[in-house]
Amino acid sequence: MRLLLLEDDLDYKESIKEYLESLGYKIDDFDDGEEALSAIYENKYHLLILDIRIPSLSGYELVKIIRENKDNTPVIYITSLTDINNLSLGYELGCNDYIKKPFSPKELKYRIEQLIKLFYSNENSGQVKLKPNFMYDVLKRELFLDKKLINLTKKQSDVVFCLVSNKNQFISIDRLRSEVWEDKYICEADIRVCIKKIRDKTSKEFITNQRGIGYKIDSEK
Amino acid sequence: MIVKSKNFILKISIFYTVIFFIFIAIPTYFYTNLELENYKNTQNRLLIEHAQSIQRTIYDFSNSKSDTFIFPKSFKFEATLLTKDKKIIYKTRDLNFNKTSKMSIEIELSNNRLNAKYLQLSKKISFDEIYFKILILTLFIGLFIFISIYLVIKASIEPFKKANEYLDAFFNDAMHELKTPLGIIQLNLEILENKQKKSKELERSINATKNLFLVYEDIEYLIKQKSVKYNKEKIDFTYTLNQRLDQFESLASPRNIKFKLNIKDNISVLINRTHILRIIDNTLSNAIKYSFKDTLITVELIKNKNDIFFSVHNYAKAIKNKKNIFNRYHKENHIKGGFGIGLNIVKNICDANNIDIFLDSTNENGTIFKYTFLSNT
Repeated sequence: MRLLLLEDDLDYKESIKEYLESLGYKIDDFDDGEEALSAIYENKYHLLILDIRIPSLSGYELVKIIRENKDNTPVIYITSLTDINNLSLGYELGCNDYIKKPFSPKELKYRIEQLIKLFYSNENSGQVKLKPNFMYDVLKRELFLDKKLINLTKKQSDVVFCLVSNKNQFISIDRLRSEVWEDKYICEADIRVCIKKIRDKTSKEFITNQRGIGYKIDSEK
Repeated sequence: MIVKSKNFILKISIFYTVIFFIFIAIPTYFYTNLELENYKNTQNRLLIEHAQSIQRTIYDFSNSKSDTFIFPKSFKFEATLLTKDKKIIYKTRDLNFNKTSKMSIEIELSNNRLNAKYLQLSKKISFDEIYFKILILTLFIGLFIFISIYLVIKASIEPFKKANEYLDAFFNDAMHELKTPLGIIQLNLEILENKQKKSKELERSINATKNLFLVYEDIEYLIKQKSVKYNKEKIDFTYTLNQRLDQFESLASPRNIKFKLNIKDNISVLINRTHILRIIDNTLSNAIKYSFKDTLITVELIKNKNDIFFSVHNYAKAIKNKKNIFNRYHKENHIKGGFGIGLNIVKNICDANNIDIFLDSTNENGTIFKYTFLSNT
């Protein structure tokens, strides 16, 4: 899970970063809003953690810009009491949560997990049942077949995550390339190989495809 | 913390002006009477003067040889000449004087050629002018008094207001400056805790930070409550409560206090997040602070129809003054310390959110705080 952290106090930023890294997240940290914004354009983040009071470009404005550009990445604002309660910003901007400074580390952990579960699986538990007999844990990024863990490589896991978080809809190869491979040059054949390997480990029906449209994973109803 | 001083000054000024008016009402009354008396005398003198001039004309006529008598007329006066038996000899034009606003005199005439014995004279009088004068006077004095009191109070309050504003700003800044270090300490202690094997020193530091955190939250709430608008959102009560209990466990464990939980799943409530956290935190931290060693704290969260019940029960010394504990700065036990603001905050929040507080406390049965979240619909 790759997160972006924007916070202007160096020690605070480092502390949050290290804490989250100890929980197994990959963190890109910034203390400048503009830099964070370009990073968001370049890379795919699963969650943004933004301080509201940031010189140059505030977390608030940053979200406004990325939402205008149809980026729906969930956001957790780090904020003070006055900011959050006076501006009902979260809800206006389709943001997903906020956390009040100072926060206990556990609270941050809870909020991140809750948001990831909700955003990527639409379930409070964070577990999605998939056809046929598969179960996927969004938070841990683990795929099970009848409670047996299936080992996936990093890229395979990324592909499954991308398809599961957009379950029941076809995802084009272009989109996979931008979200999983982050627009690095990779030919379609390689992506097909990756998909094939996942199918080998799971089952043929796990990922369905439609020529010219893309791939999808269906959820169990 | 600033009093709404503008309204306050206005109220005080009006109050003093009213008081002042009550004081000057008596002298004003006498003054008005005096003025009226004076006016009447003047009018009376005018009447007499006119009567004398008529009298003179009549005598002049008596002594002259002229056959026609020209009666001196005036628009201001009504005059009537009467015989001995009060028969009207001559009457000037009726000027339509109102009975109440008329002043009359009657004088006896000595013998004359007209055989008139009595002369009646009337004049219109009006007190309007006097009342108007008094009114204007009172208004001006009142306005003057009001303005001067207002200005004096305002000038004398200004330094206090400045001091208050300064203090507010100071607290705001202080809280802001404390925010980041407190956050950093908390985070790093927790990281340290995960890295190292458990040590007493670390655990104590973590607990102390948690307590500091609670105090910080309460003070911040007190300082900011007036300048902040609290938006309500749907809060997962079950989840929030469990999360807080998780935090409080380490505060309870040093004195071997355990939690017994009866928390039902999926209970949500529409409230501001800060509000619900203040209620939970203050109730739980009090329960831990005052519990006897080796006791149980029972935490319950249940839903009955549309009402949500949240209760915390613990074994502690009975609270003597159940009403006062919600007052600001009230402390049940001065030795144990505390700011005494926690329950006051809770009370204010409950009042604002339609939450009913029930409190029972005896030495035998322990203390229970029960909050009923009444459904608004």
